[in-house]
Amino acid sequence: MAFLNEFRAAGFVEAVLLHAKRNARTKNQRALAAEVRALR
Amino acid sequence: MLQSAEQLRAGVWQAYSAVADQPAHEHPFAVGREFAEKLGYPAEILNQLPAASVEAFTGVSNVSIVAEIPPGARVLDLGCGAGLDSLIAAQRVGPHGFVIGIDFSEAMLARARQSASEAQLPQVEFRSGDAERIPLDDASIDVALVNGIFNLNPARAEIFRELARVVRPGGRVYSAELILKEPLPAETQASLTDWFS
Repeated sequence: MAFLNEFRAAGFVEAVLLHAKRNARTKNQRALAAEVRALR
Repeated sequence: MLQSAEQLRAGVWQAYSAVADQPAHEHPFAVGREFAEKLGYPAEILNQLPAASVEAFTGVSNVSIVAEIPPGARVLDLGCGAGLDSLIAAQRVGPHGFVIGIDFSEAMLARARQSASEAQLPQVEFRSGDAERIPLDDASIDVALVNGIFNLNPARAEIFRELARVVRPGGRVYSAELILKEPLPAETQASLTDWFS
């Protein structure tokens, strides 16, 4: 996943996806809200 | 029509400052308490927090609820807006921790500071700054919260680099952002009209 890879490329040793789901932030059917935890 | 990075940045600044000035007006993205509850912020927590922060809340998820924030931690809320996540983090770190909220909208920061004063949370401080040039020392942060700012800043790669600089080894970032299941059309990627949604 590109979002996780951006953390890793910046020097974070680990980046994990906690959740990815549709929510009230967007009506775009292509979009999901992703929650990520990255370890430095 | 294609937008330059400067035009996009100015548009985002204008849109978020407008939320701070008139949160009840119509905006290109969801705002406020009802939206916060839909994202999973517990009503009993929102009830305890000043309206100045709750009514102007914008974000992608309830990162300050999801995150592990131990007592005494040094927390950064990058792109803090009106300060909702910062205030929740300040309650969680307690009097021996501290929270720094950073945002580029002075109108949003005014709300955040008002709320911190009302809530009597001296362990939280709000500073003006840009996410791609975080005004903090290297390795000075235990936990960083980032609630939906990456997609709004053309200097996206610099934000990740700055987070890696200010978060100490072993520290964590909790971040929420909209991601795509499939690519957007090129005209949408560079259009301010659709930038927020």
